[in-house]
Amino acid sequence: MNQGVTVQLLVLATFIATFYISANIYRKTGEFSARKFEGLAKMEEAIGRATEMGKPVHWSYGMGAFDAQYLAAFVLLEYAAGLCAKYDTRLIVSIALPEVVPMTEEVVRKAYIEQGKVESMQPEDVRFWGGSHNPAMIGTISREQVAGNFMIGSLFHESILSIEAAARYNAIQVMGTSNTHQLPFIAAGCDAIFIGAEMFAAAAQLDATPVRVGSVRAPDLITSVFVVLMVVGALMVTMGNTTLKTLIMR
Amino acid sequence: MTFIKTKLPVVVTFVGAFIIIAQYYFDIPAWKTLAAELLRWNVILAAFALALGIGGIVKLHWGRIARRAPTALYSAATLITLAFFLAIGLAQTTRGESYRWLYDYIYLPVAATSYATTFFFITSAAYRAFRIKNSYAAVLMVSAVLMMLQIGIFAAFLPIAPRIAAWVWNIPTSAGMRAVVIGGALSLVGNSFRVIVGLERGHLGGGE
Amino acid sequence: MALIRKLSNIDVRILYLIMVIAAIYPLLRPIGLPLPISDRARDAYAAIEALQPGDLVFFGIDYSPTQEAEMWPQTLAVGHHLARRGVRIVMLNMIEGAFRYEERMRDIILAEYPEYKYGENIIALPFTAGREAAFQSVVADFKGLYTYDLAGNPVGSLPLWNEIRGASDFKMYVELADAPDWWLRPMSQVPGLQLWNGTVASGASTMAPLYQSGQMIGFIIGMVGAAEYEFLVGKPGMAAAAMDTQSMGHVLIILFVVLGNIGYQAIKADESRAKAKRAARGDV
Repeated sequence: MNQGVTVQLLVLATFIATFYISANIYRKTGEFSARKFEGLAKMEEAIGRATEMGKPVHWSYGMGAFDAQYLAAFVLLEYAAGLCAKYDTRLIVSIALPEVVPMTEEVVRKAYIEQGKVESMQPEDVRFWGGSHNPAMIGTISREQVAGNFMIGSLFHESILSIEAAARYNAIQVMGTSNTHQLPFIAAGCDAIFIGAEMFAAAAQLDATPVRVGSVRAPDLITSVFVVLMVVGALMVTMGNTTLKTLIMR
Repeated sequence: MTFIKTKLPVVVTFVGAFIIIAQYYFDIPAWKTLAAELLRWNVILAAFALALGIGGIVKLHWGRIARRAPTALYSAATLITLAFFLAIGLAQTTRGESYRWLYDYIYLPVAATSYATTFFFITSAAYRAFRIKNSYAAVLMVSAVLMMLQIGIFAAFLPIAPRIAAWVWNIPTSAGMRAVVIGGALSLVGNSFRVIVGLERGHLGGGE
Repeated sequence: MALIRKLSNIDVRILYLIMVIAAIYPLLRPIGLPLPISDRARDAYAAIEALQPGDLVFFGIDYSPTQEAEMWPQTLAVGHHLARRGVRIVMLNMIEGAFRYEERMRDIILAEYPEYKYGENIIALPFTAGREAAFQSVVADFKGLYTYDLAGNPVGSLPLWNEIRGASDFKMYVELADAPDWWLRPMSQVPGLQLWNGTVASGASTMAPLYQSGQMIGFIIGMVGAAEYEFLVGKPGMAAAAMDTQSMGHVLIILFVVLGNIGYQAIKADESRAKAKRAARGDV
């Protein structure tokens, strides 16, 4: 075994075991509870408001590379698209990455099919922009005067551009990302946000399957263990004992 | 066909990920060599993914031109610029004088300027969007103001300002970020694990 | 009260004009505001100052042109410091669009430091796609990753390349990046490699825990960090000149936040009073 990775391997093994155990428990009991996410309520409020005003809502994943955040974003997009289909509200999606386009079309179509409104889906409202995503997104928000603006995924500086553009029209804004450098901007400018792991938990809450529940519960349990270790470790180091620190570095 | 579209990618993902993860933990020379080779292949794939982006752009804008959409003229300008840059780059490589001129005097200033529009957006966002709607927002605003006090004009009149800003950065900000980073990282591990073992197939067009 | 309410309705074009004037004026007539050098910048300087002549150092330039304003001054200041220490420099680039900054820095070092000869104590390697996977490749098999250098020369023809066995020969990785930690995860696997980072202001809070935990030995942030480093290196430049502008910008941003919120709170207070009156009258 390589130097300094024993505890890491142990954590990984524990994580995998916890994942499967949690998934199996959910499969047997069907019980999964997470706190209410304000973001989901605000998304519904935004879509309702858009319906009343006759304005569309806008969705974007940001410009970041394809990673696990997109997987959570797909579930939340399906939720938003389902609400838009239900209330006959127009949903405009702006996309920066080409590989995400077919998945997005699939997700939106699925949501409309489930509402029995596939004929009201407008394929041209799923728009791929590539490198010109930011100005195109601002242009879309400004021309359409959207009533709701959602950005969930791997966000970079386009989040502040989107916040400002949509704020001109008093749009209700919900954003979520694991990219910590954008959290201050979206926290300051949005009506509700998903911070990091909350995106995944919200996705599991919307569409609870054993796999999703397992991948939400396992990090929660491991985090709890980490918190205990951090508190104990900090106390020990403060008292001059580095045993735990040395043990973890093995 | 189902095997090629859904099962084979899952198998390839699992085998590749297993080799790369295993060589991190275990010192087996053959695995290390194989992992290094796979990482080099990934570098090549990533380069081709850039080409995929070009294909996407061409498809989008060509469609607009064919449909004679209202923005067809801008789409034409985009494609002509793309073709021009591509032709110069292929003919001269990135070391060619013309390519460098285009890059230094057109692309770099345009890219830097497009980001500089954030200057105006931040201005109007500070005025319009950053509202103190609750106690959390108030704490956020106070912290932001304290952080902005650490340079120049404030440091001249308030020598204690940089020390306060350093404390805000070192203690509460770092503590909060540490929590977010750990939580986010573990969630990413969970979701990546789902993709590796084939439990998540959203990226393949399926569900789970 | 009407005046206060008007504060939440100022035409943003007026605000833009004020900001533009505040940004341009100090560039034309420098105010000369003081710039305190932070302990973090001094520690970052000391980390590179501790390098010995001949030490192998990776110099990663990984920012897109959009970040040029903050990162190019950092690149210059840090590049000059590395050259002054006489270390052997291997330049890397993992972001598309950054290769020109790598070329420029290489040319500046070769022009201003006669002791530097290309191929003998400085090499510039080409863009490698894959982001974190590219860094993993550097760690796993650095020599196998590159065939040509940035100028198109076969790497085997470069004496410095033939002296290197792998990533573990290097003393320090100096990374100037606009993105957070995808370079640090792989590079922290190399035993004994010190990690030094310069990043944009918005990435600072993400990297802060990594610096505090000791995973990074040096850390400078944004244009302020670049200005501080320029003073420490003794070459005040673009970043130092822009500090007055940044100060004025910060003052105005704070002012606009305050103005906007005064107006917003006034409107909220009015609406609450109106609602209370309606409730008292029994109106629905």
